[in-house]
Amino acid sequence: MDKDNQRHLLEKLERLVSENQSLRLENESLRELVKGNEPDSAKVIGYNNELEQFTYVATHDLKTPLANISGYLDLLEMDLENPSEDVKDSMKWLKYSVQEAMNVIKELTSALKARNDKEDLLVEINMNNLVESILSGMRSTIKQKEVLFICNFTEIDHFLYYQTALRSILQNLISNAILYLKPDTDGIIQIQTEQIDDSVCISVEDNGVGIDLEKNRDKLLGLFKRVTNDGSGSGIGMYIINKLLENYGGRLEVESEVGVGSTFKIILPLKKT
Amino acid sequence: MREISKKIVLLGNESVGKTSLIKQYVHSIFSEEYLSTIGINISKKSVVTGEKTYKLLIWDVAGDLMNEKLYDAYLRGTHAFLLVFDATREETYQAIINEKEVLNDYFPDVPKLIIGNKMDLLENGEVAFDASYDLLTSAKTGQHVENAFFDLTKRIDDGQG
Repeated sequence: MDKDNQRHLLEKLERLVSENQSLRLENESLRELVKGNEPDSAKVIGYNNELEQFTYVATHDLKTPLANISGYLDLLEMDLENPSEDVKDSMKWLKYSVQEAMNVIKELTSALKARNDKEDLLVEINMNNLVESILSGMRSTIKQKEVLFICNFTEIDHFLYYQTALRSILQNLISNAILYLKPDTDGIIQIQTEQIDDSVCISVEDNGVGIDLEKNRDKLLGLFKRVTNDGSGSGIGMYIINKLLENYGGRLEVESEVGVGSTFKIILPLKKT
Repeated sequence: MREISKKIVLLGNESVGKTSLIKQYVHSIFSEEYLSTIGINISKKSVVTGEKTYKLLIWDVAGDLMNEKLYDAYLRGTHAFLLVFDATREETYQAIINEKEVLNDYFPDVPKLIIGNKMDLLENGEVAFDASYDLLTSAKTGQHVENAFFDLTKRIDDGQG
């Protein structure tokens, strides 16, 4: 090997060593970066576990006071001498609401238990019963706001879906519909079902204030985002609905006109047993 | 065979058994638990009379909603009314008689059937007060429930007001 070749080889070797060195450095910094990201994934898992834990604790801890309220209501009812019809009615709905809260806890508990096997939660939904139970839980608000509900499930009233999720979706949609009714107009909310090919479409239509969708479409499903500036609403409901539909299958469509009202449609896949 | 849609509306005071009648007629079920209806619920059932098949859209109107505002907005297009009273409570009969008078002004040509529900609670099967009705029914036992809706459908079919 002549001197020129030798020098050339040495230069190549030096370059390789230097490149190797920089690659090692880059590799190390990438490793550091990955290391830096590791706690984030762990955080997510941690939050998830915490949330699950929280739900367990909340459902468990709520059971006792609810059972207490139920017991005291029974005692109160026994002690009441000649209660008026109004008092009897209030007692009845108080007991009903406590029972409904207990049912929700029961559903949440079974949802948590069956979390790893979602199919276990797939049940036959009876729309009449589900909506009746949701509306009964909101009876005092409905009376106070004098809202007229028209429910039409004649096209399809039974189908398979996840009861807890659907209850939460409908409860949020109905609460929003009531919340955004116009104060000076008789509030009307229509809930109906329709079968479209292999899907069931549940629509909740109101004659409320409406939404400017051109301005607010992006805000609509965001967490803590409100489409009105009047301070009403928490900005959580629509986010929950969207997340539930993402998780359990389905999509949301919105039609709205300011001053006329809104129609929220949830389209769920018709599942087979 | 093509189904002909007809709108039937049940009216009557709270807790006379309108929802129970519909549940018995449409789903053959009865529950002792009483939950007063909120708003309006619509159910459907097919009925065959002669050569025609009717799809009855049955409107269950909450007892506390009976007012004239309702007539204008929601009762338009009704093909028949089922006016229900509790056969054990006279005041519910009076309410339905008053209601029928108003309905006759608004919907003079629409058939109206007056039925006394809860006949299972009657002693000797007789109403204890003066009442003129078309039929007694029991949503609990199902007695005459089918007949009530069939009679009403026949009246629609015959075009009787």
